[in-house]
Amino acid sequence: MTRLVLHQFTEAASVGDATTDQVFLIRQWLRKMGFHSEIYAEHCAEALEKEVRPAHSYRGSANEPYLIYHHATGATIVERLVALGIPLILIYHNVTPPEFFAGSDPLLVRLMHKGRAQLDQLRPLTTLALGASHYSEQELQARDFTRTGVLPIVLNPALYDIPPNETLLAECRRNGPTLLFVGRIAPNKRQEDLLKLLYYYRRINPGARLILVGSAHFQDYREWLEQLAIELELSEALTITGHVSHQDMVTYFRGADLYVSMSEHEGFGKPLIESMYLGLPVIAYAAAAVPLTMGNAGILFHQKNYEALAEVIDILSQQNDLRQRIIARQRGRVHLFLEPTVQQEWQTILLALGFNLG
Amino acid sequence: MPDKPVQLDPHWLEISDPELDPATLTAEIEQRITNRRAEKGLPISQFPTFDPVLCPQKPVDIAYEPNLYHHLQLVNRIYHQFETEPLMVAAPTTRIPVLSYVWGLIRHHAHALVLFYVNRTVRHQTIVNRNLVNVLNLLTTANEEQQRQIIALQAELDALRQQSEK
Repeated sequence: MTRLVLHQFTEAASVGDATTDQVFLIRQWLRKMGFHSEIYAEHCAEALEKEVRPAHSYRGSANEPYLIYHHATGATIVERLVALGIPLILIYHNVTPPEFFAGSDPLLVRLMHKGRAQLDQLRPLTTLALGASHYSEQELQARDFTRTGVLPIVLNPALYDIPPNETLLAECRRNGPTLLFVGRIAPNKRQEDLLKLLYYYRRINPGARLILVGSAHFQDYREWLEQLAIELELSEALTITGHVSHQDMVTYFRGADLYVSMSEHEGFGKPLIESMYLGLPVIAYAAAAVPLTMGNAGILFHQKNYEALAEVIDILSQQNDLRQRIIARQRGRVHLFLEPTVQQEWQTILLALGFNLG
Repeated sequence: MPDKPVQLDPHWLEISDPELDPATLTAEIEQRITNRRAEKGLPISQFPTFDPVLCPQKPVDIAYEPNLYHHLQLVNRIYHQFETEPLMVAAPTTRIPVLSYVWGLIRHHAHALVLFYVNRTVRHQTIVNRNLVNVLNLLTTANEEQQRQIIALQAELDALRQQSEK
């Protein structure tokens, strides 16, 4: 019997990236189902080189009905896939609107424009286009993809049920109430608005702190944030960690008091479900995919009224019943994104595509 | 001390929980803000923003220096436009099958390497440009406002002079 083959392609494989995590999990599922499945990427972090093959080394075989391609930015790999001409299962993780980088990073602006334009290039080859959220699916539909669906970002509980970094946890808890945001330091994430919120919250609780976890690829924005913190006299209350290990990231979730998001563009917002899973109440600006990811859990706001938000945070820190109720609803919501549920959805998708999973 | 109670948009907060009423929570927040302001005064309400400051348009009500707006609009349009793609012109080096391919590959990688470092510098220069352009936009707007105030004061002064001469 011929073994089923389904390989995945992505522009870049990097550590601690939601798209890369998803790629690895899908490979694990496919292999469990008996598929021969590899990951191919144009660029690969050194730590992943043993797991990921260079895209140029790909050689197709006759029994490959589809390739899976994860799209999240302007990608050179698209030219390669178009040249191969094999039908695609496109998984769209969303491309950040270029406007967020206008006037600051011409290269990123070009990449983001390219990423959106490439959707039109990919459409004729795509048999099924899956958004990582309903928000992304809507964008695919607006781009005239006819057969669409959703494969949400998945959370693997085993990766989160781990002991924390005790030293770091003690440090987190030693100080005043801690607000947390996880995500790369970038203008679309609007970390600047978190600083403004912190300014207001410290009028109520002068010991409050803000921890920003995430890589600072956008170094200029980080410098701008640090300057703003100096102007608002918040330098002592702000921690920008840069990229941290997975264990440390989990520790920050466990040690913080509240997860706050001011982000104005999220294709899904994985830290939202990480907070839900790890029992951290979430209060988030209702932009892009955030309301769909949050569903009926957490607190959403539609206007960035810092003064009012600071009071919400204070209420949450004082009213334990309210806090516990929000946590309980979040725990209910996050089940939709846990591995067993999403894996089941993935199998259903493969069956609909005609794979005989035995 | 603030003289009127705070009123928030009734739909600013969303909690999808049948047992929690956003309106009640909003009312509590409004009361808290009113009390907080009474206790601590009004907080600052204007912050710097990372977004670019918009380029002011030519004013229609005051005289202006045409070159100022011409140059300002031009610099606003071009300060972030850099070529970031490798430009590979056809090389007359060789038409030998294998060698030309290898040579093309080397050229492509060399271009990409140079661009990697150039783009870092470009990004930094763009940030410097953006900050300078933002300052120019703000100064031009402030200048317009001052110009209007000067005209108003001049008119007031003329009127007073006329009165005193009568």
